[in-house]
Amino acid sequence: VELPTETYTPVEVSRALGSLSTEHKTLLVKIARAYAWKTSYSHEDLIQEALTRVLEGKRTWPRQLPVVVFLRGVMRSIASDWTVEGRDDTVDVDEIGYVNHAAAARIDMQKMLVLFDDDPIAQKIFAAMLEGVKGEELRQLSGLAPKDYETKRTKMRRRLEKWSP
Amino acid sequence: VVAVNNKRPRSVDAKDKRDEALNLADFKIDDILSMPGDRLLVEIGEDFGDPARLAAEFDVIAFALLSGRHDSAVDPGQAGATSVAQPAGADVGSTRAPLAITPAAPWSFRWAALAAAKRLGMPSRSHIFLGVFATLLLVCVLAPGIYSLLFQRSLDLVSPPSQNDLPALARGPTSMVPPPASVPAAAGAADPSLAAAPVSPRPPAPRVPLPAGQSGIESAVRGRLEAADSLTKDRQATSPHASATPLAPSSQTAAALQRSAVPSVTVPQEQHSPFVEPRVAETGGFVVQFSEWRSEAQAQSTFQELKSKYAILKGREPLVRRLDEGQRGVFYALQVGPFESPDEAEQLCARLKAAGGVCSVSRN
Repeated sequence: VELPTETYTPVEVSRALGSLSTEHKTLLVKIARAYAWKTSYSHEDLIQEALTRVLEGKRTWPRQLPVVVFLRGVMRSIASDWTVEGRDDTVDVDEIGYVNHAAAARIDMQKMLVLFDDDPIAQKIFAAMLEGVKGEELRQLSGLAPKDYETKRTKMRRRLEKWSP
Repeated sequence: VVAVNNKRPRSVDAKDKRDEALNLADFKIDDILSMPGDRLLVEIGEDFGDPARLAAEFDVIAFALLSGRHDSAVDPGQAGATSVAQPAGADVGSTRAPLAITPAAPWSFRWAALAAAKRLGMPSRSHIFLGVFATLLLVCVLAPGIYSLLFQRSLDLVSPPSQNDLPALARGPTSMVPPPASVPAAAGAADPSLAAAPVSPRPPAPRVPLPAGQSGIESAVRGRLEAADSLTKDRQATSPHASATPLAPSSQTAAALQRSAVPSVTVPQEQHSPFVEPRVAETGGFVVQFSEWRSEAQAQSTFQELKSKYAILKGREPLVRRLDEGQRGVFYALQVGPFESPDEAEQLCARLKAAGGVCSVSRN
């Protein structure tokens, strides 16, 4: 069976991006807000940069990838680069005190941990999540059943969104 | 707990901090993506006072980017459809370039002017157009006869597709995976392979009707378009050349055909048009389009899959339209229809979307 080309053409990309559903657009903005946090740019900058790269063909869109999954990957990549490019990778820490971006980020995280003072399981999930534990591994670490874990995760997200978009 | 002491490493990798932020973002996004779409919108409504608030933000950004591209499907009407007032202090200090068009409320004069500018193919950024639009509106109100004349003329000029646009114009979405164009695009200009498309009488340019529940001006425009279609049919019925055009063109393209293609209709249609209608009786009206494939068999089998997945499609037969796009090859568009009214097609597409499907509506 002859399949279409592996990636979408610029015309197809442009047309698809111009006709996303309200749910898709909402998801993409939420994703952008999450990834743009702690960068020097706004979530709108992130969306614009992602769309520009896709429209210009710098990022090709494999046909098997849903739009949200694809653009999530693009935005994550850009957001990651922004921080690394924008400042030195290594920040000195000395006895006087470490007034640097990394420290500022960590203080925020501590404040966020306080959000879950009344919920030890949430704190456990949060701490593990910051270390990079994801998905099923994170759920198992929490000791919660899948449905309970999803409920917990949503509650945590809603609280976290008070501190970060 | 972070403590400042001399036992800490001499350096802290900023990337680690960034990874923390990314991990946090991933955590939140994973949760957001697991939510049903309607629940997400309810949540947005609670947070922002309007479920369409974030979608409107996206529209603004996407429209600014896509409006400069001829293959865009976005128009001011679409951007306006989900636009809301910006909250105070939101996104101040953005480093983005100024947007070309800020979506206005759909009932506003500015929105109407921008929509008209887009439809007429005029530079929508020009503030001069607003003045011209206001003047024309005043003249039209004062002189109904002039209004009719101007409007009919405008319909002839609405989004005139170039010959190179033809294949892409008639093509809808290309896969079930990404969301297809619910609003058709003036596509093809950015596709160099389409530049060599043969000159031929114009096929119908797909046009999605304006959504129901919009402002009065949209209803008026829709009414005028339908009236123009009726006029086109009347013209075809009375024209000696009408029978040489098997496709039922939309109002604007039909009018263009009436003016420009009359002397050349003696050339067989098959040699020029990239479209081969599988069923002549299926022309006219509106269709719901799903995807495009390299083979007809694949389009047919896809429809069977969709049919088994969505009960609403039971009893319906697929309409597979062959699209010859020159160097890019032949595609087969999978559609259902035709429907007499755009509302019927929109209704089916909306129900499919509600069930998780992907589709778009276009003129047949």
